Amino acid sequence: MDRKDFLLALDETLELEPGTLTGDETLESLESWDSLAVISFIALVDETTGVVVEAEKLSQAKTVADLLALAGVAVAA
Amino acid sequence: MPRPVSAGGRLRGGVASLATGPASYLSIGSGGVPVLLLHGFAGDRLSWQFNLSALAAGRRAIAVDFPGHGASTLDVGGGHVRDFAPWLRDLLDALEIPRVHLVGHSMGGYVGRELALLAPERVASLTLIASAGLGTPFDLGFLRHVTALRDVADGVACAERLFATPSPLTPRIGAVLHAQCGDPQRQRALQTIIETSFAPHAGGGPPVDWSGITAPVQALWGREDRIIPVPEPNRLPAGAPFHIFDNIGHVPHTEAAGPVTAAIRHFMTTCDEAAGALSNPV
Repeated sequence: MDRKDFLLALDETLELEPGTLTGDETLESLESWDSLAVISFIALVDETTGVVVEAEKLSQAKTVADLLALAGVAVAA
Repeated sequence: MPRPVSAGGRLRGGVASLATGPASYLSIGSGGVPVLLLHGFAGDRLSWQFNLSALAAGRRAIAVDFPGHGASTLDVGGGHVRDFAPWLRDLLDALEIPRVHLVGHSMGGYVGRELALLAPERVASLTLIASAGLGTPFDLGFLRHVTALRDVADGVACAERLFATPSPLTPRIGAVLHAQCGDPQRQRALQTIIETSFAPHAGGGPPVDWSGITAPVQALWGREDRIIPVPEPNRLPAGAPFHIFDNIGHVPHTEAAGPVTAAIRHFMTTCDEAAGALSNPV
């Protein structure tokens, strides 16, 4: 899964319009980034990459780009 | 309106209709002997946000809201936490789950142990995380404070007490704790639980009689737990694995989510293999 596909999957997970997320957003600015979204994000990464995100690093994530990095998706556009 | 639960079709929210009202839960994964996650006092099913998906490897993982908590019924009756055990058995019946691994944090550990006594055939293993009910003293003042917060800052201060070191999660946890205090019915439910089930035992008591527990037990604890300090090993069943995590407080499943989740997975797998060996002797 490349960066674009992963952002689209994140849009769906967070119930945003497809194409909303660009990677630059802070998680604090996303109303739908909550505990449920955390569970969904961990499940999404597990499903798509087979990687279990390190929770300790996830709790430190501040931006969507940080999430992409945790998922092992290339952050560069 | 709450956002519907979805994540690649695997994560789903559900509500079981029990005699005492709705039982709300999250479920992810399928197959295997499921694991049922039991949160602590004033927590909810989302307390397991960092563990739920990872515990669903090869099995179904379910996180439930106890009565008085989350989206489950606010009817806690007389506030006896031991009554949550038959309530859980009813939930398992409603979900048609014959047997589970139990993982209980704090109050959830006590309830898990009660279920293991009440319905031993339903419990494949019991993991106790910073568990209540071992007869050791705990911080009753903290629990009372959590249900009477003055403002969000007061909630954040309480949240900080749960952790051994500063956590980026405390602002959000503090806000949630404070919001709970704004709901009079929920606040009454939580305070009823405290005064009925916790207050009489805050100074500690005799050791647990483990003779009625047939399920394998393990305990996980944060060495810096300020709510329920680490007990002496003799408070646990003889030979039970006892993992103590350095520089971790009362919520090791959050503060040390990776190693705690790994310890739970390993224990469940070991118990599954042992049960399989017993049912399929060479």
